[in-house]
Amino acid sequence: MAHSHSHAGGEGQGNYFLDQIFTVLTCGALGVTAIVMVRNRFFERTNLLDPWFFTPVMLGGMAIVLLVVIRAIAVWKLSKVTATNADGTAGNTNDCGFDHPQGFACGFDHGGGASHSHGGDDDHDHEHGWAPWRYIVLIVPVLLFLLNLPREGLSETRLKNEGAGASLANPRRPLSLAAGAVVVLPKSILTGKQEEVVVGFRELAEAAAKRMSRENLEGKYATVRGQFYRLGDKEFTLYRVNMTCCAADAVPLKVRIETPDVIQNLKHGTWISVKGEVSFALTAKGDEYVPIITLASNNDIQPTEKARDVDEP
Amino acid sequence: MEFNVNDFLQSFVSIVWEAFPFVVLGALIAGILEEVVPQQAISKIIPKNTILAVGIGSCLGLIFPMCECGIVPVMRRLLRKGLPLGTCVAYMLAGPVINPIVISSTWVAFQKHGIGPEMVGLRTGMAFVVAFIAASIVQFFYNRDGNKLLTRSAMPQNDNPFNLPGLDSPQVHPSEIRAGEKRPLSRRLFNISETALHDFKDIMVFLSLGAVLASFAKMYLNAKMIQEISTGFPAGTILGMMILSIIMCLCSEADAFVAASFKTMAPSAKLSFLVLGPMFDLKLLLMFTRVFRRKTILIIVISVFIQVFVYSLAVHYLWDSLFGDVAGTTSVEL
Repeated sequence: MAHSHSHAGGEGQGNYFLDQIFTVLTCGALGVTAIVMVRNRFFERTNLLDPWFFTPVMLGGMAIVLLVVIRAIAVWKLSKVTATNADGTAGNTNDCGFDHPQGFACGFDHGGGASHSHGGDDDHDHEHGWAPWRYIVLIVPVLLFLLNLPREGLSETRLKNEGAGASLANPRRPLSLAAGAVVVLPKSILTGKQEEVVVGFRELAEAAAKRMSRENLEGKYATVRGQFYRLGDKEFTLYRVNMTCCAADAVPLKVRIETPDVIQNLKHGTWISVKGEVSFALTAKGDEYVPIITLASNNDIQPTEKARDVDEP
Repeated sequence: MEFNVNDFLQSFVSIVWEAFPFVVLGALIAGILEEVVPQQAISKIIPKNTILAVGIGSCLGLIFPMCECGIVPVMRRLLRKGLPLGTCVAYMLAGPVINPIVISSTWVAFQKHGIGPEMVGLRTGMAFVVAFIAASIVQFFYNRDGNKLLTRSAMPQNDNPFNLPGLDSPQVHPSEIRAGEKRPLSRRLFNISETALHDFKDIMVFLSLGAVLASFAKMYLNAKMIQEISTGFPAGTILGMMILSIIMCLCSEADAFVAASFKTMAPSAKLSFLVLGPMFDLKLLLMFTRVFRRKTILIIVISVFIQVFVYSLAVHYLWDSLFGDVAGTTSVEL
């Protein structure tokens, strides 16, 4: 659909400056926010980005701030030139839709308020005017940061959707009785001693998918740390977030913990370390194994420091 | 399925800030290109032969590595400077895959699964073919329809509709031919900052809207669903992974690690995820609207989608005869 409109003098020029001022303000706010977010360790605290991105975000923020300062000087100079020319040349300084460089006296005769027609599709691009909605969209990440949003950690809803707390087969079938399994009694039974094993959280969570790994770890004692998600009075999921790049690709790795007594005073997302006996149980649907750590006492739950990433022990 | 605002915000904020430095870089390069590269200079060094020009565009990422977020503003400025549309589209589609950084990350991600060279070869090869054919189709339509395929801000400068007939004015708006002129450094900086901020603002707005869409869609995705997709029929799995790549909006430099983590999935499905994602996703869809008109976007999306699906399916059935059985593609052992 073709249409025509005019590039009138005063109003268009006013919009041009309004647009430039808001560009400087919103882009500047984004740049400063980027710098402050990295300096205040916001990304570290909320686990939103992989540490690799901290420096690029900081440099990006600095580059935008520098561009904004240069642009602000240019717009200020341009406004002075325009004010000087206002009495005689205002008719020629229409907002033609191009971003004029400083000086604004482009020397291009726009026909002083002439109308013209743009042929073309009805979805054609049009950037002449003042479009405040764009600045509202741009400022959203800044506002969210000022509100200290988003909060750290996965929500209970997300963990539930990701299968934390899936029903287990009842009664549980020990691995030694599973079809094709090699019957190997844990050393703890033979020697009466706890056989401890050093195993990473990821290694333990992923061991559930491999028969050999399950058999190697079954019956041994391991210490792992992660975040708390309550499943019941004597049962919870310990989870760690496996993030490659940013929170958009994050998935929780989960280990189920069983305790002898009722768990008290632990909030969702609290970092704890637990020590107990490793086992694996098939889900009720029979489609996967779940790693389980059974604690001898609730005292085997200890508060701990937050881990930097999923591979840190 | 319940909707959690914090989960949504985590996804939205992380997509925006992850892409932020790359958009800044793209806008900065766009600003410098606009100011420094003389009009039509690029078209002089690009071969007149369309096939050769599109082929060069598909490999430009090896010399000018850019990710998919940064490439859009750069490509728009290159278009305005006279680079043929086919070459630009080929660069835009293949650049985020065929570049040294992404090739290395793909290698590292799949090396431990024993299929590093295979995945690198197939990913870059498929990206080249898909980009080349899609860009050739776009070029064909451009030869027929001309600038109707582009938005005003992406049209080559000599063809800009503001060159109004009947007016005693130069062919090109003076602000458009400032590149190549002798100017003081301060003035050049003013011009670069103007173009760079304009492009940054323009792309960030649509990137943010794309991130909103992607974050909404992600609320209804979980690892269980991905696992279910991975164990379906080959065609269904490939289609599922293609849709997943559109929704997840991952950066091409990191998506290989995510794909490699889908342990129960066939390499062909991972390949479809790795080739389609950098070429087209929800955030890119909105960013494309700053360069192309609806018809052009449809041509690009349809030709890319169909090609990726067909080639991935072919890889699925040829994999065993080409590479044999590989590690990392087994299902959960019960």
